[in-house]
Amino acid sequence: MPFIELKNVSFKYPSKQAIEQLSLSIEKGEWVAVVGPNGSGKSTLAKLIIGLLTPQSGEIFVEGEKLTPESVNEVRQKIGIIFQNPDNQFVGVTVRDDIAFGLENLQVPYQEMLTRIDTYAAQMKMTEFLDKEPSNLSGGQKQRVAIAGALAMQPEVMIFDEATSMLDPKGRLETLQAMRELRAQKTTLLTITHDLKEALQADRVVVLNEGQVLATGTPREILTNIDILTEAKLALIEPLELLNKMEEAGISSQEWEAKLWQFALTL
Amino acid sequence: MAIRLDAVSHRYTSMDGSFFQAITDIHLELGQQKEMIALVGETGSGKSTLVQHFNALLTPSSGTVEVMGIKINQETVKAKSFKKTPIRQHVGLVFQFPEYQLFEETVLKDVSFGPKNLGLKENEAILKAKEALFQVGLNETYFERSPFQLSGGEKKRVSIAGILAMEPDILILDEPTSGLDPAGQKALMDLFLSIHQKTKTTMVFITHDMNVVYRYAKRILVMHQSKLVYDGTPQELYQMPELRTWNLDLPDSLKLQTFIAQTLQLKESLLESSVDDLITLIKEEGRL
Ligand SMILES: Nc1ncnc2c1ncn2[C@@H]1O[C@H](COP(=O)(O)OP(=O)(O)OP(=O)(O)O)[C@@H](O)[C@H]1O
Ligand SMILES: Nc1ncnc2c1ncn2[C@@H]1O[C@H](COP(=O)(O)OP(=O)(O)OP(=O)(O)O)[C@@H](O)[C@H]1O
Ligand SMILES: [Mg+2]
Ligand SMILES: [Mg+2]
Repeated sequence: MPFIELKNVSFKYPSKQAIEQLSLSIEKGEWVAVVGPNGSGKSTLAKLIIGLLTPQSGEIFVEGEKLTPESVNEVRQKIGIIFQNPDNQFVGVTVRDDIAFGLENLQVPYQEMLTRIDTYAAQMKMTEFLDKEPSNLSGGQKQRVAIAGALAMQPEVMIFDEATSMLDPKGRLETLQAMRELRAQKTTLLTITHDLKEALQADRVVVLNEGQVLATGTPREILTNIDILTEAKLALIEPLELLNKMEEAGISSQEWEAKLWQFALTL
Repeated sequence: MAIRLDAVSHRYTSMDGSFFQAITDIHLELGQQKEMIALVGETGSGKSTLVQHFNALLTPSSGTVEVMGIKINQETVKAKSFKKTPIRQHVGLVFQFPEYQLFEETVLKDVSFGPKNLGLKENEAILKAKEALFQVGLNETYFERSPFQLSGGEKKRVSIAGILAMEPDILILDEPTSGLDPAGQKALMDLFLSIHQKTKTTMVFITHDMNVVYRYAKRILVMHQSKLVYDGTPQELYQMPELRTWNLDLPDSLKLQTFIAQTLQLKESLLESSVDDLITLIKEEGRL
C-alpha cells in the first residue's frame, strides 16, 4: 500500500486550473523530489496532500485513509510541511512559541516539548534566536526556523516546499544532510525544489508541467534527459553536462560515469 | 550616479527596547564603474539590511549614505526639505520577499504603478509595464490577475517587473533568482546582463548561488557578521582561505575542474576551463 496516493485529482482556483487529472503514489520511506516550471502546480499539490485545499474531483489517500473533512485533522498530524514562504508558517510571537505551537497541537508532553525545541533549534543553529520575533528575522533565518519547527514534530511524512531556497551554501548542505538522515530513518520525504542538485539526492523525481505529471523516474533517468529538461524549464547540472558530452564523444566509461555521479552528489 | 557609504552602521530596535546591530561601520562606493556586483554572505550577515540603505528605505543609525549627492544620515532626514522619493526613482530595489512589494489589485496595475509615479501618462505607463512583464516571462494572461493569487515564482517575476518598468539608474536585486525555475534563473540573469550592457545600469544582486556569481559578477562584496569583509574580484575570492569561515563555497565549475584535474592526476590547475575544454582534455588524458 502506498503511503500517499492521489487518484485523478483535479484542482481549480477561480482564475486557474492548477492540477489536472493527476495520479501519483508515494511509498513509505520513499524520497520523492518534485520539480517543474513556475506555476506548474507543485505548491498546490503539497496543499492538496495536507488537506489545506480540497480537490474538485479525484481522491487522495494517506496510509490508505481517504482525505475527507472528517479525516483531515487526523491525517494532518502525520505530515509536516515547510511552506514556500516561511512567513505563512509563523503563528508564535517568538521563535520558541512558534516551534512549541506545533508540538502542543500534537499533545507532546511538556518536558518532551522543551527537549525537542532545544534539540531542533540547535540542529538548525537558531538557539540564540529562540526569543526573537519570527517576523524580524532575515530570510534564511526564517527558513531555518520553519525547518526546525517541522522537524520537531517528527512527522511520518515531511514536505519541503523550496525550503532551502534562501539558505547560504553551508546551511543548504546541512539541510540536505538532514534530509538524508530523515530518509535513513524511513521518514517519507516530498521535496519540492528548483535546485536540481537537491533533486539528484532523491529516490525518484516527479516532473510537473501545467498541473500534470510530465515524467517520473530515477534522478538519472530524468536529470540527464535533455528533452524533459527543456520542456520543463529545467537545466543540465554541470557534471551531468560533462557526462552527456563524454557519451556523445564516445569517451565515457562506466568508471567515469560512476566517478562523476558520485561527485555530483557532493555538490 | 553613485552611492557612497561612509562609516555606516545600522541597529534595529525591538519592541522590548533591545537593540540588534545588523551592519557595522561599512565603507563602500558603487555606481561609478557601471558594474555587475554580487553581494554574498552567510544567513543573517546583513545583506538585506545593507542594500536597504542604498535607496533610503533605512536610515543609518550612524554614518552617512550619499546617493546622487543627497546625504542621508540621522541629521539630514530630520529636515523638512528632505525627500526620499527622488532617490527611490533612481535606485530601484527588488525585495527578497516579493510579498513585501506587491499591493495592487491586478498584476498590470501593480507593475504600472512605478512608472505612473514617475510622471508618465497612464497609457505610457501601461506600455512600460507590459514590456517589463513580457521581459520577465509573464504574458497577457497574467495582466488582470491578482498579484497575491500567483505561485511563488510568478510573484517574484511580477516584483522584478515592477522595478524594471521604472528603468532605474541603479538596480538592486535581493536574491532575484530564488524561487525561479532553472530556465527562468538563467533567462532573468541574462536579461539583467543585457540591460546592464545596453543602458550602463549598475546592478547589485544578492545571491547564495556561487554559480550565478561565477557567470555574472565582475566585482563581489562579502558580508560576514555585520561587516563588509571583502570587496574585490570573484577570482581572487575563490583562492582565499577565508571562503569557508565566511560560509561561502566555490562555484560548481571550479569544483568540477579541480575534480577532473585530480582524477587525471594533473599538476596544473584548470581554472576557467569550460565543459568543452574538459572534454578535449579527457580525450587526450582520459584513460583511467
Ligand atoms: N491563490 C491562488 N489563486 C489563484 N491562482 C493561484 C493561486 N495560487 C496559485 N495559483 C495559480 O495556480 C498555478 C499553480 O500554482 P502553484 O503555486 O502550485 O505553482 P508552483 O509549481 O508551486 O510554482 P512556483 O515554482 O512558482 O512556486 C499557477 O499558475 C498560479 O498562478
Ligand atoms: N526588523 C528587524 N528587527 C530586528 N532584527 C532584525 C530585523 N531585520 C533583520 N534583523 C536581524 O539583522 C541581521 C541581518 O539581517 P539581514 O536581513 O540583513 O540578513 P541577510 O544577510 O539578508 O540574511 P539572509 O541571507 O538570511 O537573507 C539578522 O541577524 C536579523 O535577525
Ligand atoms: Mg510553489
Ligand atoms: Mg536577506
